[in-house]
Amino acid sequence: MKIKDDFVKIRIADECFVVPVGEQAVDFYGIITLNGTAEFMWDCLAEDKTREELITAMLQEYDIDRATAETDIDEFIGVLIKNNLLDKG
Amino acid sequence: MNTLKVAGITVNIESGDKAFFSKRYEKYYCEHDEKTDMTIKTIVTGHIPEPCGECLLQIKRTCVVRLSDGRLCRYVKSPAGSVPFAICFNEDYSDSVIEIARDCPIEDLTATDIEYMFTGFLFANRLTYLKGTILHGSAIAYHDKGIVFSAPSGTGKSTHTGLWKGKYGDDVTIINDDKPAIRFEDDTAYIYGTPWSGKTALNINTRAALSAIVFLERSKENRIEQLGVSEGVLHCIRQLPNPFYDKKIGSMSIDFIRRLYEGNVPMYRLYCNKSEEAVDTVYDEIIRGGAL
Repeated sequence: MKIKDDFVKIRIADECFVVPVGEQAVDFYGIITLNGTAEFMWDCLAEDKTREELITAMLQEYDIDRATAETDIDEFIGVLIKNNLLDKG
Repeated sequence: MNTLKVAGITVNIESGDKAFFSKRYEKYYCEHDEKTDMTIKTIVTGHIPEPCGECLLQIKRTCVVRLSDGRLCRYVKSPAGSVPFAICFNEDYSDSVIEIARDCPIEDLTATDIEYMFTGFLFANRLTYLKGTILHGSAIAYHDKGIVFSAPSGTGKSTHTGLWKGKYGDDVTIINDDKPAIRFEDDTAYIYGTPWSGKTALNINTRAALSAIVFLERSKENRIEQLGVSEGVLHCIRQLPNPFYDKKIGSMSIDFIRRLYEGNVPMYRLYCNKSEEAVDTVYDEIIRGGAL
């Protein structure tokens, strides 16, 4: 899975946002705020990755157990799917 | 071909409706310059053949194709199959051609309306490439301090700046009533007048340091609050160039928002009605309060 490339990440004053551009700006009328973990997962999914690859990356980056990583990732992916942010290609 | 200088951008322009645009552009004419930032040529013609090229995207009746010479072409196809207008441009908008069918059968727009609208859009896109922007709003200078009042169309931006003019007279200049330019010089942001000022001809060829951006929201009561970063970003991106057919422009607009924050340009939300008290609310907070 991979996040659509019609979103641009911006960091201002220690806050991180994702803003839709191009065709996405027509349908997605808002911005997304990312916390540190979400930003890490967002960056990982800028390229095509499986759920397992994402879990491995999370475990390498953060001092957490596998169950916590899976919970965080599934919750994040759920938000991406709900808001139609994943590239279907 | 005439030459304009708008917000420091040199525009070589050939108009379709010369009578209308010679008046619109008169404050911006300058001597021909060797250095040209962009060229816009408008051709009003009897018939526009449907542009041929690789289809990049289509939203409703608007198509964007890549022509064989590498330029992009955005056009509309009417239900009857005719093409009322087509805009061809290179990747950085430095060279554009607007073709308009003379008896342009598109809603209630005349050929002149189309030309006015798209010369404005093309300028906005080119300016964005040159690290400036157009912020949809009505911009004033109170003495030498600039404020842009921004909001979706129909909210009452012009009404609000009209109240400022009514109250403060010559102390207030309306720089542009719809599409002021913003550019940075060193680390200071400036508002500039442009000839594209919406339904009115309220614009002048001048600039003022940008001291605040105020987003208007209609309300019974008048109240102002400074926006946090996330709300500022959200309000800004809705009123900056972010065309559906060019995500690079949207990315550059987002980078411009970051520069506004780095330049310490404060952003506010004004809940306001159409009374002079709305002006006093802004004055008390931004001018008397010391933000300017």
